[in-house]
Amino acid sequence: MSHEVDSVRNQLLEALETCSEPEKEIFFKSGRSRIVTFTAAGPQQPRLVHQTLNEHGYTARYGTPTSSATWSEVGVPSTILGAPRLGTGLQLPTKDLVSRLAARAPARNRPSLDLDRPLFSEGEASRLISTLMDHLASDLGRSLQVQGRLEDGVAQTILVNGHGVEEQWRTRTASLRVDVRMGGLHESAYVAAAQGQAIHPRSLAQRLVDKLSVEEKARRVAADRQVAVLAPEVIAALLGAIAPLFHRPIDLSTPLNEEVTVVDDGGLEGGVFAAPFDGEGVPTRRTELICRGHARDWLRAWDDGEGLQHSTGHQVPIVGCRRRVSWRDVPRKGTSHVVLEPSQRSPRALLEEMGSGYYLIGSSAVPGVDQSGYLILPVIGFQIASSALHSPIRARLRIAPHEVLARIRAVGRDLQFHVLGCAVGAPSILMDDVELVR
Amino acid sequence: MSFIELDTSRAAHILARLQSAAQVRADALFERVETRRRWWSSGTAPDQCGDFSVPEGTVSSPSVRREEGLAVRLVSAQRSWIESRDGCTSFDFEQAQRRVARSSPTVPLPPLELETKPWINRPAKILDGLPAKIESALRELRVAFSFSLEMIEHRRELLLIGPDLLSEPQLEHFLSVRVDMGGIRLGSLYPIAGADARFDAQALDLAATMADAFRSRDAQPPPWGTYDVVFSPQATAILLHEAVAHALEVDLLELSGSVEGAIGVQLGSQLLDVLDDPSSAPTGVRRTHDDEGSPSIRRWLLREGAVHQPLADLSWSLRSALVDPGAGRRATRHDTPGPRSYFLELLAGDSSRSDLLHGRGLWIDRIDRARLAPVSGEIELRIASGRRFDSGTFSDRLGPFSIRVHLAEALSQVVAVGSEARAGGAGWCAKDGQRLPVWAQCPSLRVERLIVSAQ
Repeated sequence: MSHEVDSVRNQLLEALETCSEPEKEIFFKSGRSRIVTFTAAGPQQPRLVHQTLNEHGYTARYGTPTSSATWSEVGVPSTILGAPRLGTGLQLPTKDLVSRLAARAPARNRPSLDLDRPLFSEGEASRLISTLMDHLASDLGRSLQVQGRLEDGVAQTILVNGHGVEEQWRTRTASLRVDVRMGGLHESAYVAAAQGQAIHPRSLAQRLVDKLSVEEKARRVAADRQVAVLAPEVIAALLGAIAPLFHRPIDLSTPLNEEVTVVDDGGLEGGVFAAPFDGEGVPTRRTELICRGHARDWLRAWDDGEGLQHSTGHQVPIVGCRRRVSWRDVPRKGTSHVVLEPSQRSPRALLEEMGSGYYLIGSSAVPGVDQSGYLILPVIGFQIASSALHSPIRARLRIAPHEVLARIRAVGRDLQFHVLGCAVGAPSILMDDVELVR
Repeated sequence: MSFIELDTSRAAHILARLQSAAQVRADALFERVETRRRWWSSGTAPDQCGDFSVPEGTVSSPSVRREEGLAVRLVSAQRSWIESRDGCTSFDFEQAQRRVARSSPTVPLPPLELETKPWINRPAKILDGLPAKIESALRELRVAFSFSLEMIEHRRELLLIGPDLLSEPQLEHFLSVRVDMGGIRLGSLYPIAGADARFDAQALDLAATMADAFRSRDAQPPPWGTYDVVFSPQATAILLHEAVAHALEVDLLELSGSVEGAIGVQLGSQLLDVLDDPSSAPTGVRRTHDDEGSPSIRRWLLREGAVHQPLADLSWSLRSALVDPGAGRRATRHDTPGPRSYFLELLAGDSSRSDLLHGRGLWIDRIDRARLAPVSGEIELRIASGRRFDSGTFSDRLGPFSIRVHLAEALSQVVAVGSEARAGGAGWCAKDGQRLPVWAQCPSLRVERLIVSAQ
């Protein structure tokens, strides 16, 4: 394997030599995935599609600081042919810069043992799906319609540029998405992990059962404003929606609750998108975006300039934060694993502190935005009276983006990750003044 | 002329060997895709032009993507195996057939010689003149504002081989344009009929839509209430894409009931004759076969308002003798085929413009987004702009509003179908995460008593 990687890297370096532009880069990725999609209606055996994908291709970027072009193709390039350049300028990181940043935050790669484990076999996938289906059927009956997609993939990335940056790394991700329809009700759940073995079909099935049971009996709440406990799935959806705010210096007019600490970590141990480098070969690292209620760093890319400093004069560190969706795509700034750090409290303690209000346990959608710029998120949960579950409810949560963190009164300890473009980790939280609308 | 040279009869013979039973089919798809993405800006800030800055008034160099690959598939009613690969070599084909046959690496497989033709470096100037034509048309319309364009030329070539059929090479060649007018975003698709395509009519059409969107930028939604609504040809295409095409895709149909039970059901007004016919699509995107190699058929979805033939792919046709394949589509070789509409036609009726616009009501010009809830059958239409009309005369412009209605209600309340069908309503459909272009030709449509609300 390492021999093949070396051979490809050498070919990429030779191809790079054929290009006379001052700025030039080749991003190569080779990946293999196994996907099983399944559909079941009622008591019939599920229909299965077993698919294996083999992908390998590259994107070359080249040009000058005032004009550039990009070229993507399947395979390994022998030369950079390319189109004439015009328009967007291009500047790439240098080897010196990458070495300096790597020395400050040593690159972490996950143990090769994990990466070398075989992908799900056909039999393993079938067993996982049948466990899931049995669990759903035993709790919800046989009149279900279930659709799902199980995916397990591993990829090797090699990046070289004209300034001497040469990096290579491997990544691995597995995921399971399930949609269940029961009568007029519809719920979905998604779980992703760095290892397929970390996906537990029973716990995913249990989440779906819980959500469908609540939704079945829920009454729609008329407009209301109350204190509420938000389960990890709900706060993660909101946090995912405001993640782009961390691309620039964070403006907090008043400090947040001191329990609020938010970090982003492109190399998070066990993270779904964990990689030692970003899509330009810059090392990833843990960045404290908000520390104990105070704005701290933000996602500062290597070429973001010195002008954007923190208001306290504190030097904001450079971090590898330009991600690529696939080998076909150019890198774009984005969070990888945004985490609202957990505290010591249990969800039960949060409910007791709340007394009366709402306990919002789930949401099946990503938030929409209304005409006033407020986030709108369909939610289900319970009305709580005297710290006890009262009745199931459904509603739409409405909140301004800048209020999502500002209204947090307390943070729980039950950290869970959800994938919403990037991975978002959040525990349950207690939130003040939560607006619910019909 | 295909982009790949191979002995098709030998390929068919090899695929036939993979079939273990009568109800199992084997097929292979060879795909070549090229996209050329270019940007143009009339002077908007760089961050309003995607992530790319271009000197004012110039077209950027193309960002080019070239891919070729193959997929081999073994499909039965209950279970399928697909191997998809980047690369179109003999080795790729052998590996793919070995994987779907689940055969040991030591078992010798029959070789197949494959050779792809070199890529053709076509002139990149096809889009150079489009921005100037749009600007000129906007001047004629007496509006001026800053805007940026993202223009993508898409070219997809396919060759599909099954054990008992070989489709002729398929080509989809079209242009997608995305306009950013600073807060207002529009998108449109146009077939490319040849290397000398000039896009004169398309520039006029797009400029008219942009001018209308600009003039409606501060328009208010109508008060909540029940209205008679007339859909423009473009809006009709989107309504029917949700209410007829998606509703009659067998995989979604199964969620709300039985596929067989749906055939013959009176779903809408007797004025509605709706077809899906990829072989009638405009030059540049016309298809004689679907993405599984099955011949495209002129499929009546609704005949006089009654369900005639749902949209089905090969896998579903193996499960039920009542549905015909020919509507299997996939976004790329790496995706699983599923039943989808391609070119939707609503046959023209006999209502003139004055018939459609009699009395009072709302004219819907442009729909931003539409969605069908497959189980409940509810459609949500998010309307970007429209007008009030009164006895054939347009009055106030209307801003964003929405319509939620059950599909059967919307279709049964159709009272008039226009006499002039227009190509339009083309756009992207993203069902199941697979983004596919869809095309349509429709006249205007009048639907009575729809409930309208602000978004």
